[in-house]
Amino acid sequence: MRQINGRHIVFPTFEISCVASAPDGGLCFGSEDGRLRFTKIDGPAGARDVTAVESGEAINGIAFSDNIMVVSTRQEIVVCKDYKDPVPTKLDRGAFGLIQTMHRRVVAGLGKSGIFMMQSSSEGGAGFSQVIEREPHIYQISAAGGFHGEDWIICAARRNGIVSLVVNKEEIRPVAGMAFREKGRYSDVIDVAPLTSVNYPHAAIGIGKDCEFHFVRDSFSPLPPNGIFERHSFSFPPVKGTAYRLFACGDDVLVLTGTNLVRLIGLAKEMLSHPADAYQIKAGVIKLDAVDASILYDRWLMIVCTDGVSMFDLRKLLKSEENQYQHIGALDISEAWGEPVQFEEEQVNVDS
Amino acid sequence: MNTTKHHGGPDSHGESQWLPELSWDEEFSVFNLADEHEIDDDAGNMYGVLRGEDGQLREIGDDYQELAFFAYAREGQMWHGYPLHPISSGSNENNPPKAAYTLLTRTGLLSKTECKRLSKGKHS
Repeated sequence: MRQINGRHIVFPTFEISCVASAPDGGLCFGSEDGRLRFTKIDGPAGARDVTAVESGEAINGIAFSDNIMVVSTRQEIVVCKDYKDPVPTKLDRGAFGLIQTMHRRVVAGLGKSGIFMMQSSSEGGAGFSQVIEREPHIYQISAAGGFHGEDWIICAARRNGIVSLVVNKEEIRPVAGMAFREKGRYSDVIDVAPLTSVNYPHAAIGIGKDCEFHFVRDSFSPLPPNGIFERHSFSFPPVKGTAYRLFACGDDVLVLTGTNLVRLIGLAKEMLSHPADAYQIKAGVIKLDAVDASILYDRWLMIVCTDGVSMFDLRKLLKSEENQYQHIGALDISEAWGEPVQFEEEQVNVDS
Repeated sequence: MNTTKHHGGPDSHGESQWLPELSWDEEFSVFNLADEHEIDDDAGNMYGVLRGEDGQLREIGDDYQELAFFAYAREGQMWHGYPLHPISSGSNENNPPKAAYTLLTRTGLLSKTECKRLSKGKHS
């Protein structure tokens, strides 16, 4: 067993639904009733509250582009030109969440209504938004880098699999899509994450609702001459339940289910070096009741629970047992954040 | 009442659809459970869910819907219902009011986690 220390954040009279990074280097919490709370990274002192959506719906996405703020719920998307003095413009379409891309665009999946995109003011697009109708059901999306003003986006598209898009200031262009059919049924892909690799810049991993994994070596390749994408599907018996989120963090892959946070140690590295349909790796399993999660500033893992948010330092979580305490000190989460929380991580061998 | 509008009939274009693989008994059980637990709003509309043998909520519609709506019917009229979309597409109001999640949670038909997931438009 390994002890993982974090802080559990609860705000009285503000039920947290999601957390995002803010333009000033702080945090922005969304609430179950449509409010936002801006705080510093090191504690809640001096927090500022804003009513973001008048419908009172639970906020499921917050993203910024320069000073522009975009907030989403299942009912609407709201754009404010200045997050410090928000005057909302509302689009009557719900989204499944929001991301910010490498080129500071804000993008959202709208289910079978397609994609929402808002460009930064430097591209002449302050408050500009665009809805592109697409056939696949666009659910969770991830930024997968970009080049020369173009952003690469990968989408978990439910039974449509993984869909890859290029976004530039003129258009949203679908590049590739692949569904995963096994034993006569299509996998219900609910999240996708890019994998970092010099040799394979467009490698990605997706996860089905039933915790089936799908590795794609080149998610942006048009259909190859033989008509078959290189991809591998596999599952790990100890990773079960309903998958909520998937993150690739360095060599590891993190999976959040309704009951566990599972750290698949070295899986990303293994997939990139030896793509296969089976792996033998170790996993760290933390039991917890989770609703959702996000990673902020490539460092803070924020797990939204039914009664608040548990905040973990990824630098500690991802460290192996031998060197887990190597850099503790200045890197600790501020004690101003809520109550200390400690989880036990059980290490198990997992074979796919 | 099993309407063709929500079952792939000729008048079904643009309408919310029940999953074709759902049996009539399963569909009726969604209504029955809502009725038993009196999951109705101020206008008398009812809301229901379907749980599988594994205890998990099941999808009931062709757009990944997990919650159904049964419009209020006067005495002597037939009830009819259809799956509600998880998020708004802007073109119709066929997604659940926030109060539906509260009702279902209060009566124990949804857990707190499921309520928080579904009220964000996410799968349960």
